[in-house]
Amino acid sequence: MNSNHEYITYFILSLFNKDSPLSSAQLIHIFHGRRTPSMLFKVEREKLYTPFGLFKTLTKDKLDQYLNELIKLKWLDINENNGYILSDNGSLALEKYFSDKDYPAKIASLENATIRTPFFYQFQLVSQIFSEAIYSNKQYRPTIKDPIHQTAVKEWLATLDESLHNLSKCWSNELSLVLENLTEEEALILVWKLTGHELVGKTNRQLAESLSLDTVELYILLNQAIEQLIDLIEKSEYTLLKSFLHQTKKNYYYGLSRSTYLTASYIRKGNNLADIALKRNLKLSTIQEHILEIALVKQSFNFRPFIPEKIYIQLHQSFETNPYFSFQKAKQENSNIQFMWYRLVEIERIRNESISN
Amino acid sequence: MNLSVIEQTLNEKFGFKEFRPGQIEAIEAALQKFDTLVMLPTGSGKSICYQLPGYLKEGLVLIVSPLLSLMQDQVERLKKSGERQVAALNSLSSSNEKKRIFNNLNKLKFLFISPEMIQYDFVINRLIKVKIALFVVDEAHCISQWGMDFRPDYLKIGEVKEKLNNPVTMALTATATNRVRDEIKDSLKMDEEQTKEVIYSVNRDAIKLKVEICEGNKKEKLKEFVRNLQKPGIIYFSSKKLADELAQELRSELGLSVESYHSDILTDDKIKIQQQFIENSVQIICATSAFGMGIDKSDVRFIIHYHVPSNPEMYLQEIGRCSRDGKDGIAILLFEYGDQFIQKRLQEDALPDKSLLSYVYKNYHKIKSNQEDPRVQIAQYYQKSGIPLSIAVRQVEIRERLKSEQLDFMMQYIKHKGCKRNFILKYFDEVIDVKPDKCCSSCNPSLEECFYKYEEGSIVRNKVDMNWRKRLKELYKIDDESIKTRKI
Repeated sequence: MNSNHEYITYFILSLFNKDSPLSSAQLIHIFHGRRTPSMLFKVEREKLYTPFGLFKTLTKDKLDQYLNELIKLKWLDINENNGYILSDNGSLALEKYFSDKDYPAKIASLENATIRTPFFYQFQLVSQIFSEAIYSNKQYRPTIKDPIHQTAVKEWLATLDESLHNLSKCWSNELSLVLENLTEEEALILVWKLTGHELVGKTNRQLAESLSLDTVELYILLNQAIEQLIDLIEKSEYTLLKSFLHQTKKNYYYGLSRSTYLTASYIRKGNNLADIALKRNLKLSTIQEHILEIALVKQSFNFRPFIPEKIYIQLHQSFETNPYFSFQKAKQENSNIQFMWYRLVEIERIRNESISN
Repeated sequence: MNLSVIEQTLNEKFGFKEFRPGQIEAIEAALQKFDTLVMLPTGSGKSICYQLPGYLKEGLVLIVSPLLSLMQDQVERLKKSGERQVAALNSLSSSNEKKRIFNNLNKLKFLFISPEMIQYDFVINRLIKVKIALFVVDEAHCISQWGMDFRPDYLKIGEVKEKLNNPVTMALTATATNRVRDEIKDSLKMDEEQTKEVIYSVNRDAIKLKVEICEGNKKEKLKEFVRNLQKPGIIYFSSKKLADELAQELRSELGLSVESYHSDILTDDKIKIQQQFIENSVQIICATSAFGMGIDKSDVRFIIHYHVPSNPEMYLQEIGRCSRDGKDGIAILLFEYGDQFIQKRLQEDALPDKSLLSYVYKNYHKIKSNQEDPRVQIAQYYQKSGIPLSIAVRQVEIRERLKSEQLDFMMQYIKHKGCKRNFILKYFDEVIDVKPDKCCSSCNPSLEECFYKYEEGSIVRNKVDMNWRKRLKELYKIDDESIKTRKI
């Protein structure tokens, strides 16, 4: 195996298992962060949260090259359902490779998948603004140049009723404290990415070199560290960091697609699905897909009100008798059953299984 | 206008005491309401030519600029120098930002705008209502089909200028042949009698020219040069993969601080690399042509081209990043037989052929707008602009022929046994009267040795203490005492 892409090859291998086949087309959609309900469900079922949206520029051809290499090594077997499954040899190879390094498994939901990247761009910009403010320097060039991020930060700062100097002190205080709750490696990666007064942050490649890691490994760890940071801020009482995070989440529709977010807003106001479809001039099936997206992205979303009680019980019973109970079968048993009800119960079962495991 | 007022503005606004060659002529022409075509070599301070008159004339300076990154860079520079009334209007501007700009158009001093944005009627209708002090077309060679970076949407700027009631115009470029300059004036409808030309030689005496013919030993030659030459320096590649590979080899084998820079590097990392290069913590950049625009570093001592550049304009632009401080530096072009075919292949991949153009014209409604393939993008542009297919085909053929001629010229430059400087300047219809000292590798065969310098510090990179707490303290001026006393 070429040592230049050793880590990514093993990482890709680790996304397969022995039971559920995963195709190259599905995997590229996952890497690109495609948000169809079926893709989100696949991610949920296989717990593929970390790779979701991770390599947006990876091409299908390149992915196929990696997969062909794994097939040649007989670490992946071709499954009859047009996908690949992990072979016994592949399983052993994975065990060996990750025996002396941590496997990145800390991203445990899809909630921040679309938030992580803009959050960290804006986090870097705010950190630089505050660092320069503490040194009373106005003559600097921002490290984040994208006007979308610059405008978002400017708008957030405008909401704060405090001097830049005081805010800077508060930011550095809160940041110091929150970072103490991360692992040493995560804190190091995040802090050394930051640029501030007369200090230029490190690039991913430079950080990887300093930590003797592969660049892809570093990139995945950085994503994981950002996720941890978001979670810690969310759970904390650090007002400034929290205000910043909430502004970012708001700008990025709380991790949902824009249309789904609008549907969620109607739900919050007490509208039923048919009303929402009417008001938004959309098909009912589209609104039902939105419900599935909300359920898959927001683990705290209570979707029980969207399934008739009788159907809910009936579906659970059927799954108890037959864990492979299909929608086709459900439809045969009750022709009125809707796919959304079936899928929501399936999601609930998967999550309950994970908890009990 | 009194010269002392102009000089005072130069000092107050830009912190300079003297003008660089060509600047004052361009400024005076603009202040006297002449249209001006300004050709000044890379790194000679072209932006002052339009920014300074902006401070002395009432109204808005409207700058058409082809590259988003360049636009952003200019905005930041002006802001850094204390100018608040500056903005950029382009495809990245949010609707709120656009609203803010239009609401404040009368207060703005400088507005950078992309060539596609300035063609919209709603933009023109707003701009008509404000007084335009100066209409600037930056990188004006993009207008010309004979130029290196032809942008079809630049062709319509002349019409826009008329719609804006023909404001005083300044077209700026660094490298343009006579033919390109004529086309710029023609396209921008600049009246011969009312137009002043400030044309300075593209030649930079401080940059010494060398061609090194390699025979299966290009990597070794590169490493030899890099090991010995005084740094910092830039190495240009046509391939991202090679830029990465060579950067890695230079780091591991020579112990130098080297970074690769190309379109696959994350945006924030790109900025970090630029900043590290500027502050000298990175000594060498292994780059594709993506690197350089807007990088203001005066002490670059060498530029090496690992692959032959596609045309003389691009070559001069890229080597123009060397020696901006006026001190000597060297530009080395490495050539190995077969390199020309890499460039030919890249050229073939850059333009749509007749069948692709026809396909896009026929099936435009089926093709998604965000195409990655640049050939499809160009075909879509022609189709969307309403340019008839036959004309689009003809334009692409002209471009292909031109590109081929330009590459041929580069090949002749490489093989030329006489003075390299004289030869390349001929392309720009220039001759030199007096050759500079250490002119080129033909005039001085061991030219590179004049630039060899043993640098003790460069061999072993400093180990950085990666303590994050210490780093955080430095970022936010946190001392131990303040940690104890700070409360949230």
